[in-house]
Amino acid sequence: MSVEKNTQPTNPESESSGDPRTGASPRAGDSPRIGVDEWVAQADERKQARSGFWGTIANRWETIPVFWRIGFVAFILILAPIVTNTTPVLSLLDISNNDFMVRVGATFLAFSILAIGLNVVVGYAGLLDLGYVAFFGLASYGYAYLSSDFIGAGVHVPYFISIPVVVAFTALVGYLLGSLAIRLYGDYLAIVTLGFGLLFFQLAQTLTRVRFFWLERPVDLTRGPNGINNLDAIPLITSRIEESIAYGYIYLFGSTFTPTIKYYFLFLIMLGLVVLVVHHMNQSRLGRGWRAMREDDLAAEVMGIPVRHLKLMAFATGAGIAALAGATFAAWQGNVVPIRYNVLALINLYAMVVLGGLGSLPGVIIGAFIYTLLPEILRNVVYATTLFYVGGLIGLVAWLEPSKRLVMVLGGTFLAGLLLKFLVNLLWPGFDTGVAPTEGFFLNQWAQSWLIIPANFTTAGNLAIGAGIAALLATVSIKNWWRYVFLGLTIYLFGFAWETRLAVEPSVTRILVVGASLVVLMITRPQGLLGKLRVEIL
Amino acid sequence: MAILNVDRLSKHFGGLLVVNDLSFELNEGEILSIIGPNGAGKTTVLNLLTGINPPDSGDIHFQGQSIVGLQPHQITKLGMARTFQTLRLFLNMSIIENVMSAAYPHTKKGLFDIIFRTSGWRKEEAQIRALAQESLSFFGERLVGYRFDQPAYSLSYANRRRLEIARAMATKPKLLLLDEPAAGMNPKETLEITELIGQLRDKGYTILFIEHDMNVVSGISDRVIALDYGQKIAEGSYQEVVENERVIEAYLGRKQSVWTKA
Repeated sequence: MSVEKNTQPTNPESESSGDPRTGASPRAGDSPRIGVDEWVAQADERKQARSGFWGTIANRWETIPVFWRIGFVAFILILAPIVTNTTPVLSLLDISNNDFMVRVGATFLAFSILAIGLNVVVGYAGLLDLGYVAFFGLASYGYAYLSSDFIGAGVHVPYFISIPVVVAFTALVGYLLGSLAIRLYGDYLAIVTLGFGLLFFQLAQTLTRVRFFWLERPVDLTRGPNGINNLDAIPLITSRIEESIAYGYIYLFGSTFTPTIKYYFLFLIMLGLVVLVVHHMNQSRLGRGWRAMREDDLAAEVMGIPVRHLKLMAFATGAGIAALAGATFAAWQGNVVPIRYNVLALINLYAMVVLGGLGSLPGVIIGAFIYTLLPEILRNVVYATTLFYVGGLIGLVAWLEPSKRLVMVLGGTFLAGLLLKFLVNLLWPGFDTGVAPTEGFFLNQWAQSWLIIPANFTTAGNLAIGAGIAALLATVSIKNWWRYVFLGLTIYLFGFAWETRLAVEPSVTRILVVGASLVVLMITRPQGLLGKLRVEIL
Repeated sequence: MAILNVDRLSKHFGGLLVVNDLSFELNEGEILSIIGPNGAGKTTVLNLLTGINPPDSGDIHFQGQSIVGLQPHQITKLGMARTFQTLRLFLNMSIIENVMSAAYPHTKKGLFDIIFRTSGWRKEEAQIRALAQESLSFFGERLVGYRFDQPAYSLSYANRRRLEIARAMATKPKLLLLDEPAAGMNPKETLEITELIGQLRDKGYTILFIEHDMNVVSGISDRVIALDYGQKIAEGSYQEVVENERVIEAYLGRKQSVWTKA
């Protein structure tokens, strides 16, 4: 059989010659290189996508060396609790101390650590672990057993022993749980781990009368739904040193040193260490193995990566990180209650990780930041109103870019509002006489200067929410210039709804706003804020 | 010297006997190709060799050591690497990371070195990167330079096949198993793959490959094995095998039956 090997003139160099970036072929007559330049073309598209106002900001930020970027964020996080505790800032915010702010900050840091641990399991290793929150809880109970009055006359192991012990123990439990579920993939693994999470929660609530055969009376292992109280606090190195630091702090900053600030910095240091360790793990053969098995675990196994071992490592690492946050969190709160470790807590953690972007450390931290701070900020009418208008403006700028359209929409809405108010007052005196409950803050006053507030604003406000959602849907579904008319209408209606209804009931509104922000963010960026869009098959 | 010794290997899935009493030897530095019609059990043979499926009976000796019962990553560590017929790249990882991840079996640095980035870890990491760059530069300029940090999904089909081979090379194998390396390639690329397999042999790899494209098989094989219904029906040089009556029968059907039907 003859082989038609040399009948075809081939030029092995033709495909790789020339600069693919320019797409130009050095020699005329070369056949078009289908596929080769495909990626290059896509790269240009992406570059264009990052131009414009926000793209410029993102590009400018990325020109700063990584070290300075991290340093900048760390600097802000370090200074935040100190600066907000100085007299000028306190009087500006009209509060007597910043304890609440620091507490929210410490919660954010604790949840960032937890989210990073979850990110190792879900983001890097691709194991859908729905039992993650149980490790958080297990570590809290572990700390309670080791460092409180709970067992016997009280076991008070110092924190520098009890926390490492708890972390090691929880990592071991993670390893063992992993080895039970090791053969399972995706959804099946999710259900098994979910079962573990539910078991833990249920046992924590019900193990109040456990009978051991060698004991006469039943033993209370968890104190049920009330949980265990009076856990040992973590002193700053030792209680003596903490005392002197507290004096120094008062001397330096003129304000009281609270335990909250101490835990804030403790969590900050832990976050720094966890970020460093996880980053190093990810940028090594271990992290490459994790990501490889996330992509295709059979191919990873055949390429010599011990998938089973790496899965267990991921479970153990995630559990260990959760334990670090869990034990410290319990020490800070001084108690453990089962309700803190329920499925809702798990969903919150997942929301943080997915919102920030699976697999991205800065993304996950930003996700935790937004998800922790947003509901807290929305408790206060003034902050919430500021966030509403500033956030709305940023959203509009992000969508329309600083352009003529943006000015037209904003100016048009404002002028139309003024005109409408003028006409209504002229033709129908007595209609625009309502007094919105939010007036007082300058943004509220400004908004009410061009909004009509009828006497019966409660019903009108409720209707405006529905109409506003309808107008928003019209805005996103219409493609011609009418969309900008509907956009103006949306702004007007939501402004009205905010002034009359939403800002008045923060307890309801904050959840609504969080939900709406999640919907909008995930629709506009399905990969999360800093995540990479994943391609499954191409 | 035989690097691979397959002895009376059998495997069935349910009631279907996929590999039936298959024995063959592979000498060091040799290029052996396995041909056969669709469903002849060629890919299953590769799956048995790499430990993805355990054989029902029979034995496989790789460099004198029995590898039956070992896990795939252990077999890879011993020096056997493969590519897949249906490409299985780590699509969302960068091109260089795809290759670097395959350096896992012959690197050792543990958790301590990784977390503290010791000098040993740095040295090993530099070695891994150099190895990956070397494997990728085997394919000329296609997968090097600015391409290193691009995700694997951005590659064209032919380049994905090349990346799979580069990834397999990074495991530092002695024996390369290629599952239809020319599938889906155009004639020019097929020719190039043929030359490439020769170059791989010159680099010191022993090669076992499965192929449908007879141009590749004839161009490069030292020896050919033909399979049908999991059984070896012919073995020898390309010329011998394609002239074998049973092989022609397996591919084209029995002459006689044509007459009986008509």
